[in-house]
Amino acid sequence: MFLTNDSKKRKYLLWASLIANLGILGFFKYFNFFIDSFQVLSSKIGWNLDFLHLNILLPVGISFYTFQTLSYTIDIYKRKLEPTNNLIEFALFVSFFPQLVAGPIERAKDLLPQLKVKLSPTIDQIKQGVTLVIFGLFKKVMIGDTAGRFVDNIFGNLEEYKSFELIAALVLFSIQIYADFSGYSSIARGTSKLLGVELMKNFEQPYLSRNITEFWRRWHISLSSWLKDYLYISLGGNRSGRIRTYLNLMITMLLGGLWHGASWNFVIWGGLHGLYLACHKLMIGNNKVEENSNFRLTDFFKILSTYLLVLFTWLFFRSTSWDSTLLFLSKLIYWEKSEYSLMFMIVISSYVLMTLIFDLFEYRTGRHTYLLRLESRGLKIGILSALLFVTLIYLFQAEPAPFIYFQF
Amino acid sequence: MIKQGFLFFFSFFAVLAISELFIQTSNLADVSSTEFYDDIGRGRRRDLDYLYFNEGFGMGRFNQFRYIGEPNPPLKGENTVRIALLGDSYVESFQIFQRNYFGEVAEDQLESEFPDKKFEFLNFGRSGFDIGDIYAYQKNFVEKFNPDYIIYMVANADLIPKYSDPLRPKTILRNDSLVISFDFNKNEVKMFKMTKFLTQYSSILNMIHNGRKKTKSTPLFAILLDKVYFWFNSTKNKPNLSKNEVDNFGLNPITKKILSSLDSTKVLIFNRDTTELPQFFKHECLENNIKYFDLSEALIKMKKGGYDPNKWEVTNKIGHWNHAAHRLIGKELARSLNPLVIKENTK
Repeated sequence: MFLTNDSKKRKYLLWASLIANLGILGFFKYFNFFIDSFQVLSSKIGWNLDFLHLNILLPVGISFYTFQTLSYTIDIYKRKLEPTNNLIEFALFVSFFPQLVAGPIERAKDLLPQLKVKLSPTIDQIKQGVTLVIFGLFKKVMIGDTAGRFVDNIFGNLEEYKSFELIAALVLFSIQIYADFSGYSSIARGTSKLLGVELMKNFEQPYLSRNITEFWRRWHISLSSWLKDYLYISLGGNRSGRIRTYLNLMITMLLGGLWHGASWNFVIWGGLHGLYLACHKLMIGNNKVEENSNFRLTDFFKILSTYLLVLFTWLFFRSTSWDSTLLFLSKLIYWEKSEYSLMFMIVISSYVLMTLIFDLFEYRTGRHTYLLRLESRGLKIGILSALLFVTLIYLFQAEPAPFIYFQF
Repeated sequence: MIKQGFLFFFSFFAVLAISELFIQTSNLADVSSTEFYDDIGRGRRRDLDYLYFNEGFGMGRFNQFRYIGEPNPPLKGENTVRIALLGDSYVESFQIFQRNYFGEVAEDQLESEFPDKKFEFLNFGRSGFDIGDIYAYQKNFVEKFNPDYIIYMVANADLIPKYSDPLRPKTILRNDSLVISFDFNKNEVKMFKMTKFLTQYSSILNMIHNGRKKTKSTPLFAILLDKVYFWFNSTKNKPNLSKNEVDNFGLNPITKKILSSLDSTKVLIFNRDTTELPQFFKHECLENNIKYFDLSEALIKMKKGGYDPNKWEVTNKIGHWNHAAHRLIGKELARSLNPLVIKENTK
């Protein structure tokens, strides 16, 4: 594809690569989803297609490395990247262990050149790596996993809980998924730095976004930028008129939702985000979305309203079925008072504050390794040691929980 | 160098303090919920909220009278039927919210059947209690609350006093009489009193304490390596944990004596397990006119119906009763008590 100038041939080769990559992903991840959905329809006319359902074991991280290899092919097609002739380098690019199972989804043009040279981390990289690993571990274990215990129990038995408790579970899920995934990303980045490899940032304090467009610039950045570069822009982006722009946003986000898993819940989650983005685009017109770190009082309401919009979408993301989603919503309408409201309020506040502490430092300094800005070595080591100590103590007497994004 | 050392310790303990605050307010880990009392030995702390995760998720409060639930004082109200529930962790039920507790279910059921009466089910369950502990607890503590009925919920494993906790009063036989001994091991009491301040007020220290206890029951490598350890050790013979602990029940004189000294007008015994209690035990209950109820049939029926009363779907664990089982037990309990209340009313 890189060597030939025949545009037809290049296009055929690109399609062959896309079909092969997406075919494997589609088989493993979406085959049963479409068969089951088709089955629901076919059962109405008396067809039994049970035999078509396969017991497929989903390879860990398939969505992540499929997108990574797709970007490699598309970049070569667009002549943004020279292909590598070294199979081992390519294999290492696809299966680079720190980010293999849950990203960040790296671009070949960024990662491949780093893997070509001898890996030799600098002292700064080692310091940053250790800091990121400890921060990530603390966020994942102490915030994400522990918030997840409330979430799993409440979402697993919705009928047993009262209205406010369900809201608490949803808020805690928003914290769990953020702490879990951003914690993982930090560990991945930190581990890579220890090897001398730089990975992209995947999160930039998304819950401090003032609008939904900003949110998507700060949440799962490697996926959102991938979708923008390879899907949204390929569909025409905002170059073909307003209606087409809204449609492109919807398609991009619907597919972004489907990327997470073969379930209508994820499609609705993506669809809602597409709708939000289209509405925001409609509201701001041709104006650019401003991003400045100066905080004004009105920003608080913007941040809160953006968070609430995002929070609503998490309901669809976390629910395991339509029935549970409807039960959740009905319990919000037919309000049942909880005797544990105060306890839940304290729990939520505690998690929100802890998450905010990390985010506000990052937000103000623009760095995930803000701790290293401190001059005193004693302070730095003291803080990191204490965070690691508490995390290990907790881990030692608790039960381990897997990363949420491993399932994707 | 000294300055850096000072800053290290300062920041280390400052972060620990913030973490402690976070852990306690988020209920990420509990502080110790036990206290040592002269009248009952190791008991639950007064006025303490708890939040429990293991098989399920429980939230509640140990009230000022040192038991879980609504604080009903020792003096009973008029037209009130008070029922004391005694047993082990199944009765204490940390795995669910108080409103889903089988006692609450039974209370609602009986109040709907007898609208002119008030029913109070008091949860005196305590994790790890066997029949000896239950008896001692009843005599030292529960009877002060003037219950109309006292329900022992026991399983096979509870039928022999084991004296598993050195800080609990022991029910023993002395000259063929039942005696509740408060002869605690002085070193244990001293150790508890010395360390309680740390574990009752610091979650981090309590976590260390729990970790230390865990290493006693689980090999260190199993904790550190988790599944990897079990893959490599799956072929090794596991200890037989299903050893029938009631083999020698017939020889146990304390249990016999307990049964013969219970007030048969007040005490009811329930088998809370799916396995039947030994014939000998049932026979002894009959001999002493103690009303005996068996929940095993209802629990087995539920299990055969495709719903395991001990299965926790969310955590994928088999353990204590789940929500559905609590509903079932509550209704069974109310059904068993109904004729007794009618009889009492007729009197």
